[in-house]
Amino acid sequence: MSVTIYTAPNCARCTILKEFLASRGEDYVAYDFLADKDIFSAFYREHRACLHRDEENSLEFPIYDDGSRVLQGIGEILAALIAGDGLAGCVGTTGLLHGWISGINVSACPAGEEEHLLILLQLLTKGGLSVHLDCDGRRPELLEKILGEGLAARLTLNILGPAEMYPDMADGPLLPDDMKRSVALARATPGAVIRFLVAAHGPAGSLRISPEQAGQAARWILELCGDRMLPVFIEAGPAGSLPALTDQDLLAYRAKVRAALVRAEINRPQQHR
Amino acid sequence: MAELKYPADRRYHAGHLWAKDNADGTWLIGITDFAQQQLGEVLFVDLPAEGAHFDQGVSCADIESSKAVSDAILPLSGTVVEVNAALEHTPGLLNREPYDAGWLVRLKADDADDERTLDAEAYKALVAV
Repeated sequence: MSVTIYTAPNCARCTILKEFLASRGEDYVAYDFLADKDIFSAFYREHRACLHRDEENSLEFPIYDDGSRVLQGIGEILAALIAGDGLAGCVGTTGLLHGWISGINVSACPAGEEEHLLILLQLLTKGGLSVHLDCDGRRPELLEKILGEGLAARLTLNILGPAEMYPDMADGPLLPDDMKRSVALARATPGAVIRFLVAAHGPAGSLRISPEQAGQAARWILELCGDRMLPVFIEAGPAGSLPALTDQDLLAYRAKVRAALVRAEINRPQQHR
Repeated sequence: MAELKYPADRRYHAGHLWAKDNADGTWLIGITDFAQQQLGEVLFVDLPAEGAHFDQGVSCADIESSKAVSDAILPLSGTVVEVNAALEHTPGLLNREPYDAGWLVRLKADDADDERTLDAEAYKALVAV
């Protein structure tokens, strides 16, 4: 099976991929999209429907094609090459902006895939990228290991809702002690953000917490950490099949959360991403 | 870096497309040197069907480059009578020859005297800001 990779000039993540393939002794052909514009243009024409762009609408490199699948973005490519589909749940479409890489959720790491996730993070950080890690309160032991090894430059702890809603909103239950540990780790991590992510969840993207449920989750976080002054943000996430939230809608969430955590503020996504 | 060119033999629009009179009731439409430079290497152009009608200020095509997916905002209202088939396999013509072989569509204009278009000097001043 022949492997072709498409790269961009002066692309650190492309170098990471080349070094990874070389370390495994894999043969590949590399084309630079500018130097080999006709070859890349033909590839793009055939595969443009399955390629994605980053937050600035730029095409993300590197792109990997082994004849049976096309993978794009250094996080997604390395995850697939290291673990097959094992990390698919916690390494989604990775965003990459100005040396940062995001889209990796430690809480969604399946049991048995921890070492693969650590290898992935080591490759990314060794290659010069700064990892922005997401967590939803689950897997604090793995989060602690990652932070301890210096494999995450930034952390966002997303509170999805009250603990009893996690089985429906995430892909597994949340233990109260796990959230307590995760909050403590976030508080001890410089620059970490704790936010109530008001997003659509569930199989059809039709489940979203109400302001009252956000307030309930805030009271629970207060019980766990005992600090009414804990700085938290409220942020609208993807709306799925539900109507998008307006700024006015978020005010209702803020009011309920502030009843427990008095420093809660509404956050626009670009402020802390 | 080479100075950007804006030939005086055509009209321009703030949406960064030009229109050149073919003297047969049709106008050639393309992107400006400024637009191609901003886009970077063009990888694909999604052109309209011949016979489609568009109003001025409406996009008639998607131009996909490594840096962006951009609308092609028409400088004139009219009906598409021909698309540049060469762009299907050589979209880079938009970068290399934006005023010649890299034209996008040929348009039968509804009103060729549209005052909302600019001459070359006015357009050059617009993009210099």
